[in-house]
Amino acid sequence: MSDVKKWLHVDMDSYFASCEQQANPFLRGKPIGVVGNPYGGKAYRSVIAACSREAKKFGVKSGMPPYKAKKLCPNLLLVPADRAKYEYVTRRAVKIFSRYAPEPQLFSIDEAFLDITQTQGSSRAYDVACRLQCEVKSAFGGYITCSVGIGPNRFLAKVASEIKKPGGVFEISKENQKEVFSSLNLEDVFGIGVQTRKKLKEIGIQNLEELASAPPGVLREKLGMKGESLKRLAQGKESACLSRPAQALKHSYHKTKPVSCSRSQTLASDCHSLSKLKSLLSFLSEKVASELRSQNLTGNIVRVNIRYQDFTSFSRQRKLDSLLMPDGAVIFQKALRLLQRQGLEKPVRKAGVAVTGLREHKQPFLFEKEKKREKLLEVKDKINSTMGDNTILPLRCVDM
Amino acid sequence: MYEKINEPIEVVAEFGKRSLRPYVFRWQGREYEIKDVNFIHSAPKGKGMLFYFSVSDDTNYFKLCFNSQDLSWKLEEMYTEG
Repeated sequence: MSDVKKWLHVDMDSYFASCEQQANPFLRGKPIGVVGNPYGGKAYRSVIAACSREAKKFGVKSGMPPYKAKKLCPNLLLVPADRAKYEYVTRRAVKIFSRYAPEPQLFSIDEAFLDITQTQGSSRAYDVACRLQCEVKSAFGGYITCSVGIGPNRFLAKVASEIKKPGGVFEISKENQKEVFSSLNLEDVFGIGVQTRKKLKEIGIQNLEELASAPPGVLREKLGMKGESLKRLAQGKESACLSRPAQALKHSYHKTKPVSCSRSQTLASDCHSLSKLKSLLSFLSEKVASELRSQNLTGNIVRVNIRYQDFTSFSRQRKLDSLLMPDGAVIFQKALRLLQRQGLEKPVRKAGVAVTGLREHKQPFLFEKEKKREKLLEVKDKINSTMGDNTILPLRCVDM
Repeated sequence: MYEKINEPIEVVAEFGKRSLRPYVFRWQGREYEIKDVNFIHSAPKGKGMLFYFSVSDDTNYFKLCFNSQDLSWKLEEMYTEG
């Protein structure tokens, strides 16, 4: 058997929008944008989470504010996001993928890598990809489709899946890799956005070929660790950012431990009430604490960020004498004290809570009270992970 | 236009061995005959499950929700063109 690996990268096409068009036939063939909450016109504070193929033709993109998208496409329909629906489709899709590769690696809610080296048998990878596409289509209905890329590693498979979108299959092999790469722009590579492209241009790198042959020292100086990683990608080699997909999502290129953990939220309408803001701070503190616990981390700096309706903002932080317990109640108390000390001058548009100075949480608690609290949080996390996020939340998170 | 409804409804449905298909529902005194079931998905809720049915007639789209614990139905949202 050949020692060349075969990877498939399955990328669901216009994922959230396709799910909505599958569910609602009156949206089919129309430009739609999936947003947080369009009921009552409040969507103008959120961003387009996904848009349909029809909307993309007008230049509408994910991450765009709805007012901007409406300027490009006045007939754009704003559709409420339905997380449960997308998670359900992903769960079922993963079951389909597992028939093709025993351990499908979910890279995000709409992307997965499948190693079919052992399972493809005598079939061509292209045929396997087509079979998988048909199965996805028949499982959910004609509107939910996927593009599949084939390559000898995850990176090349991911690049390949972008080439024949939507609903296509493309393979990058040793034979066509050079030709394919010569037709790609720097931004087509995973991890190169506007800022990185700008930095690369500053050191005279305009395309993938130049990136592949750039001196490592120059790249490291300009982009740090990421420079080396990008060079590997430009050479068609896999990089650490794709080898551990779950972690890659959270920490991108950083192999080092995270330095901060934060959550922020833009409100649907400006907040004039302190009690509402307290509820939000409490909710965000719970989210930060739960993330810290899931990664077995703790920290000793608590920060609060507030943005007012006129876009002026302030940030206050406090360094604690000792590491804090990764408990939402503890983080909330510290955050609230910071907020009360500062006071609110104007209606609030956005609020955020962060814990920094992160370390591994390994010291056991000495006192019975803390031990009890830790056990309680463990149970709470277990319930929330099996029955869904926010199944158990402190009452103070609810605006009364 | 999408409208959040979230109101209880009465439904005529067929329960199979591993399937459930709504046919007609009554909301605010009016009966709606379901022409197509376009999509079904589920989500856990407490010990039970919620089953969502994205259905349509000739002019409207409806999202119905069946709660497996108390066997109740709800009209969650609707979409009417125009």
